[in-house]
Amino acid sequence: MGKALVPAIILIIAALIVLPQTFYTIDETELGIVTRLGAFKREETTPGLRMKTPFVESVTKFDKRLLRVDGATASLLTADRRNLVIDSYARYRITNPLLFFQTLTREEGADARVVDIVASQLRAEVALDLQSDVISETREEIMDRVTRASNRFEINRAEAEQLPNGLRNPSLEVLITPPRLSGEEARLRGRPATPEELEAIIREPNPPELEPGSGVAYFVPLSQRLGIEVVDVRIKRADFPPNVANSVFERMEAERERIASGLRAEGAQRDAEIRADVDRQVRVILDTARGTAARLRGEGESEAIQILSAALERDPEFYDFQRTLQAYRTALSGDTTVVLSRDSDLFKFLTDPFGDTSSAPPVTPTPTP
Amino acid sequence: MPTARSTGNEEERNDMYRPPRDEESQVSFDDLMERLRSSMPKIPGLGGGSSAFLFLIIFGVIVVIWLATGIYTVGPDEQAAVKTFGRFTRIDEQGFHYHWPAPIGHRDVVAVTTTRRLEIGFRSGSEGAVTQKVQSESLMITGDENIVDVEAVVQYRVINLRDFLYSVADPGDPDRDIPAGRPDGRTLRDVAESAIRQVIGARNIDDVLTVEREQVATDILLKMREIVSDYDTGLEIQTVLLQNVNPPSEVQDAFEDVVRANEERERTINLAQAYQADQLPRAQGQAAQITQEAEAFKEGRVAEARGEAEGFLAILEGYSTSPDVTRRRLYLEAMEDILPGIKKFILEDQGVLPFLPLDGGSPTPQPGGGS
Repeated sequence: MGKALVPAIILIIAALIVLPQTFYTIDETELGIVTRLGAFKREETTPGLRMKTPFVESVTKFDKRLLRVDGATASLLTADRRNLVIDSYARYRITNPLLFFQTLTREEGADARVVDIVASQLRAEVALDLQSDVISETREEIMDRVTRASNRFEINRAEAEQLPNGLRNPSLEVLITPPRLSGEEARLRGRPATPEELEAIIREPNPPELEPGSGVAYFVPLSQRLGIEVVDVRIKRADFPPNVANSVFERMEAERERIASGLRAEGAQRDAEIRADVDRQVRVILDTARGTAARLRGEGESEAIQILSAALERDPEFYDFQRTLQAYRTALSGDTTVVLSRDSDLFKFLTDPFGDTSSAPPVTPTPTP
Repeated sequence: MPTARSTGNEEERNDMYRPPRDEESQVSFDDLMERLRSSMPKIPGLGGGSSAFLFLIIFGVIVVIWLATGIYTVGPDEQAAVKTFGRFTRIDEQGFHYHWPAPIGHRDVVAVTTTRRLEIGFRSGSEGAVTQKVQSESLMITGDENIVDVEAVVQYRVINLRDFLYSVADPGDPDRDIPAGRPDGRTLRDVAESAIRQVIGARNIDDVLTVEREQVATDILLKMREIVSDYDTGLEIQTVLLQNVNPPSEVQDAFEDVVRANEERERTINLAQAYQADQLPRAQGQAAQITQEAEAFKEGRVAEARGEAEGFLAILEGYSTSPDVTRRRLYLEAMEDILPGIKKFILEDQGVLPFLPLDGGSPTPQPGGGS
């Protein structure tokens, strides 16, 4: 039995060594590079089972997917000298596996490289913006600019001239950087060269047509140099540093206190206004009524006087007589003492039934109280 | 090395090359068959001759297990994406399926119709567990440089299984049991946080806390969809719900005091208005009373005067027809009324006037009249 087994074992061992060297799989999420003794042979982009020459050819696989890298949380300074703690992330993908392999070799290397690129662009961009811009509406623009800037790979003029078609190469980006800025910041605020400016630049590196102090920068797409493309850069969080956060809380508290006391004061003021107005109205109502009442009373008196006068004017003397008699009735009461003369007309029949015709007017008695 | 020697015991000459003889191989083969035959009716494992058969059985079991790795079921809310040698081949719907045994074939079974949820700013935990706040996620800056606390829930589902499985590299999220390679792990959380903070950062704190809450949720949803459209995640963001939008706990009291102050203001104004509603009618009533009293007085005076005038005119009419007689009569009637009630002295002349006790005492009789 041993005799039959030895070749079988040899065959199995051979298969176990050779088969993995010949067959390999490319997953849906992968790209492959096949190299022969170190030299690039071909790309493998279609997933499935593939074959290669054993031992001589080797395959290196890369992630085809959208890759993600975290920007380290950093405290960045804005244009108005405020600090913001910014947490960012970037996504990129491998566009050219061979180039990627030659320059960055592995994803870990790429991650670190992308983090560097993005971090420096983000820092430069934030330094050119106000804190309020970073927090709010223009955040989108800021992130776009950083993304675009991250995808530019700077080269010098000599390299640019060596491109196919020289400085007229269609993928070459020529930016005019503004004066008074330098480094990444200048490039972030650079603008594309107009065709006339480009012609001038082709003639000489620093043509006089450009504004003094401005510079010229040459860029090719990142994918042409490192085989990767930055798909986007986003600010996940932009927060105040912890000590600033505390003072913000204090400010918020103070502002709310101000609002609260304003509301209470407003309440008190409206209250006083309403009450004063009510009191005023009440006074007016009552005073008006009293005025009307006085007028009515006056009218009443006046009318009464008029009515009476009209009647009494008919015979004032008789009124005098009649009214005086009435006054006697009320004025002369029990404790009055009068002295009457016997000669008075009232007593004319007292001693003689035919009366004393000396009609002396009835005497006005002298009343003693 | 085979050397030609002719003599000697064959069994002793191990180093000589001997061509295999049919008898030997036949014997070995027969040997095997003997063993097989002898072990067939017996339970494998008994008897030393069945060890090869044991290997066969074990090998067979291994093969069956290996083949069984290709069996799988897909539930009613699920789909399965199948790869063969790493290449995507098909999507399977509900049912019982088979693919090439692993590692040749591979499946990913994913629930596609269920709505999944992503929590930002808090973790609700399992049933009955207390909600935990995550302040690093929930505190963010508003457009007017205030800080607000936002808890949100994003609801999403898988709509494109291929994109979902193969397009985005992601470390996954172990908190939510999301394995690596799924875009609803860190990727979705990044997108959500970025969108929420961007939308909040464009608004004032008072708007965020009150009137614009609805709008904020809608804006976050639109922003998330915008971002995700560049990524091929295979996800559909369905809704964004703002669970809680509050001032940070550090300043909560101050914010609540503003609410209280507003309520106090309302109450004070209401009391003043109640005072108004009470006082004015009351004053008007009083005013009416005053004027009515005056009216009554006026009417009374006029009536009184009219009565007196008419009374006088009536008497006058009677008097005019016979003045002397009437005068006399009136005079006598008056005397009749007055004189009985008062003290009177009827005297001859005025001489005794000084002697009258004018203070009310009875008069002292003096020697007879006349001076």
